[in-house]
Amino acid sequence: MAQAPTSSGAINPDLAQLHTELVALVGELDAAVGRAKDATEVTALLNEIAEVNARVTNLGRQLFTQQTARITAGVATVMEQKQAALNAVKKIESVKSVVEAVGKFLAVVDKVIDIAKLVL
Amino acid sequence: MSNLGLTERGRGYRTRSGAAVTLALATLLVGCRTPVASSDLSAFGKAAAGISQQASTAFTESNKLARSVSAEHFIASGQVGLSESQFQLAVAPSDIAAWQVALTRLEEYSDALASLADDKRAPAMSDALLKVGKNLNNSAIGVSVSPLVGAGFASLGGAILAGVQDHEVRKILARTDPAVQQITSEMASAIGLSDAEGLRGTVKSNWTTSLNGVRADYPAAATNHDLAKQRALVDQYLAALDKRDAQLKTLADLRQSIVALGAAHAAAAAGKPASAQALLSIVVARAEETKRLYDAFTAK
Repeated sequence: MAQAPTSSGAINPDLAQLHTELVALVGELDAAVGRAKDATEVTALLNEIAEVNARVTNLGRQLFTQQTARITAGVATVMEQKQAALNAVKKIESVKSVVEAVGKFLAVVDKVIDIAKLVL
Repeated sequence: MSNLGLTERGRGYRTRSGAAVTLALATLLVGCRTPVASSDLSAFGKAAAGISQQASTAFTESNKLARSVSAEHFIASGQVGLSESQFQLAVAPSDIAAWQVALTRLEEYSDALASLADDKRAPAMSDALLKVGKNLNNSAIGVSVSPLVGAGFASLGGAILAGVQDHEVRKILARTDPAVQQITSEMASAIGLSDAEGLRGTVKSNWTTSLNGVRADYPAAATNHDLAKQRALVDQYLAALDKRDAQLKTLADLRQSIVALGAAHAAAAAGKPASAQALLSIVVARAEETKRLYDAFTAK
């Protein structure tokens, strides 16, 4: 069996971990809003959520790009095997067409022989 | 007249025996294992196309949300320069395009395999061989082929072709499987195993942030005991939570579809077409559910 194709860019596990931690931090800040004593606290927490979220989105997009690079690396193998399938179809079709051609050729030969018999 | 010894008269025992052998061989070739069905391979391509549609919708919605949230962040920042780069996206457009290409390639690959597994080709080969046999019988060169033997050889020819097709299909499925597993596992990982990671994590975080406006207004309404305003804000908040849950569910469904697609390919490569079919039906069901949810989500 063929090996999995090598990736063009491995995902950075530290960045993935940081992204997960930032998502969790947004969750914690969100929960803290429910415990706020006054509007000032609420506003401060909401501002923190917005700041952390900006980094979540930025980091998440970068991670997604790294993973997409690994997806693209696998696609090359799929394309090679698609071509292998098309080549196999061509070979099989040519075998079938030879048999069909022989059948047609024999029919023509018979006609020629029949005509030759009439002439002779 | 020359005779190649295939007439029933005089050599009846041998010809019947020969025909029985060819028919037995044909049965053996066809019956030794269930061939990979062309329809199963086509179903894989359709499932990949369905996932492509699911992913496109999910990414568009994720980006709309991220851009809307980053607009609020930009306004609050007080920056004076306005440019597109200040508005964030959850998924880069080049990555969306790469996913569409990857899924289209999977679709094309399965179409090529379905064509290779075409189950109409073997009977066509048998028919062609039968025609050759008939032509030999009727030929002026004096060959006589027993109908039983002719039918046996024609059947064997078709069975051999079917065997060759199936062998090639299985070989290609096995060669491609590691790449398909890599593609689908990376896609599933990018979407995220839970709402705490991957794109699902980013979307959840963006939804939390998108509710800042409602929550910023609430303390004043609560302090002033403005019950009507409080009620309106709470209703707005809860409605947004429903939308968030619906969007997160569609991402979870997308991930499930991708995992099922990879598992279906692995099952087909391992010669388990029934499992592959069952998994592909999950993909179709998920795609329909995603469409229903998004239709409901975007309905006015």
